[in-house]
Amino acid sequence: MASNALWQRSWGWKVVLYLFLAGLGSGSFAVGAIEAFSSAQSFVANLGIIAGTFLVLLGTLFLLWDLGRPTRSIFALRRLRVSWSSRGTWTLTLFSLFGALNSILRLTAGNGSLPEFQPVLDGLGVLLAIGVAAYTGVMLALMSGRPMWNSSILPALFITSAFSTGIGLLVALVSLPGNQTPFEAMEKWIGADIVSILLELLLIYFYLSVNFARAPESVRMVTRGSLAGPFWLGVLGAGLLIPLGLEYLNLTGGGSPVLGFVSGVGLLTGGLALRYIVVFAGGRAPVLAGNIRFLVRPGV
Amino acid sequence: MARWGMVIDLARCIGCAGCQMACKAENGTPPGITWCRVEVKDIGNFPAVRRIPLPVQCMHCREPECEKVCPTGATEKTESGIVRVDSELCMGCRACVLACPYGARYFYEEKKGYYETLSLFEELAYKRHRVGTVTKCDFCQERVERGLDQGLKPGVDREATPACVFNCMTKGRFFGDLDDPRSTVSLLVASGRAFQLLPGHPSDPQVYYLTPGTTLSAGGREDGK
Ligand code: SF4
Ligand code: SF4
Ligand code: SF4
Repeated sequence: MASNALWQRSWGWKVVLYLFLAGLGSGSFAVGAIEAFSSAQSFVANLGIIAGTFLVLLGTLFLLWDLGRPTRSIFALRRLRVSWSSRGTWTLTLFSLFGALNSILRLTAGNGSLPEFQPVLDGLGVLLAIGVAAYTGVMLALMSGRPMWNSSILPALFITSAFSTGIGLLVALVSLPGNQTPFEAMEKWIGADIVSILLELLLIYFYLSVNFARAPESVRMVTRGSLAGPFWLGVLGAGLLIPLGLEYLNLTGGGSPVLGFVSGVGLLTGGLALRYIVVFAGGRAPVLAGNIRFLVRPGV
Repeated sequence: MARWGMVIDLARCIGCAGCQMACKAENGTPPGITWCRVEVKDIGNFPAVRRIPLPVQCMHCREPECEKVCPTGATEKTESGIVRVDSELCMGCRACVLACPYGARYFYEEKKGYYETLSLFEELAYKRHRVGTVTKCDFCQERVERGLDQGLKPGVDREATPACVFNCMTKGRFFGDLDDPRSTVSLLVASGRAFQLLPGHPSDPQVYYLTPGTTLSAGGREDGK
């Protein structure tokens, strides 16, 4: 299969899961922390922050598992000055520490007894969460030999998707039966998600059309080749168009927690499919020797 | 301090993969890890077709992308321009494998030899390769440095020259100091026949090629089969 020559093989499903969970977790944390600015201890604030921290930590476990020498991961803090991977490791470490502290405070505090510095902790968490969601995109965007990664749209796409999946998770959890929080509490977030879905559609359009000019084979692999299923059904269908429709219904009064739950699950599916596609479509461009293109094989 | 570089003459290369085997023997690389390889591609349209070989390895870039991405500092460019991996620091994240535009890096995943049990050669040779880390061509750094200590000249004296270079049976590979304008490699680079892979790429490879002298437009299948 010709298109498989452009399949990326150095990173596999563990990295896909890390990217998904780190995006989902940071998005959910950000939503929770922003909610906390208006009502410090609401269910959505606590849930977003605690679940967000947990999911990022869970994703980090997959990242560590993926390493050839996990016990050496501490060395990844050494090259903050040049390496985005190292900068990301710092961001991830700080996010995890402050996120864990934040979660513990929230879990142990009685009503109205959060410390005075809590808003500072929440704000710092939002900044670090943006860093966690974005750094992987920046790192991939700098890899010049891989046309599907080497794109400045990628960090924006990752941030938007992180935010959207974060909202999706919280909407789905709030929709669960037996939950005390009224579904209406999520309305403003559903509105925000409609905006981010529209933005994501636009970003995906630009991502594919800009890349089509320089790597048509890789784009075809996404739209018509081996990644077409996850792309059309996962990213576009389950992840963007169906949630868009359901969320519109929810806002215009025709919605219900059941639909909210379905759209939330759809958003998560789409987020996972997006990471899957980006990771595996990232094959190396042929090496040019004079006017002749050689597809170099190892570390594909 | 020298700045080591290599020149590969495509007009002389017959695609025998002798360099590939010489490197295997010199560095004892495990199965699946081929620091020096010969890629082939069929070009032209029938009946005017030709199979052209392209020996590739680490380009020892002056601006190595692998080094910029490495979070641990395991990948580092030495003073003499050799890009190397410290197998004591590498955590096996493979970011460098992905960042290298030339496909020069390999992840050493599991210790296994070419036969059912490790041969004596493999027992000894595999000691320098650490499972779970990334490896690649190191311009035969040890060999070059040992030669220098003995007062030999890399690129001239066999004992100070990379294995792939002195084993090339058509004498199509050259090694030497690119900072010395009178070295063979410098003269070849200045000859007007030299080019780098991925023209215009900022990585600035220190492995140069000499054009085969003939041109045929590229055709055939993209996967080089
Ligand atoms: S060829 Fe690849 S591995 Fe070698 S120095 Fe350049 S970027 Fe690094
Ligand atoms: S695999 Fe090793 S050498 Fe490569 S980037 Fe990671 S730590 Fe650095
Ligand atoms: S310079 Fe040495 S390590 Fe590099 S390809 Fe040649 S023989 Fe192998």
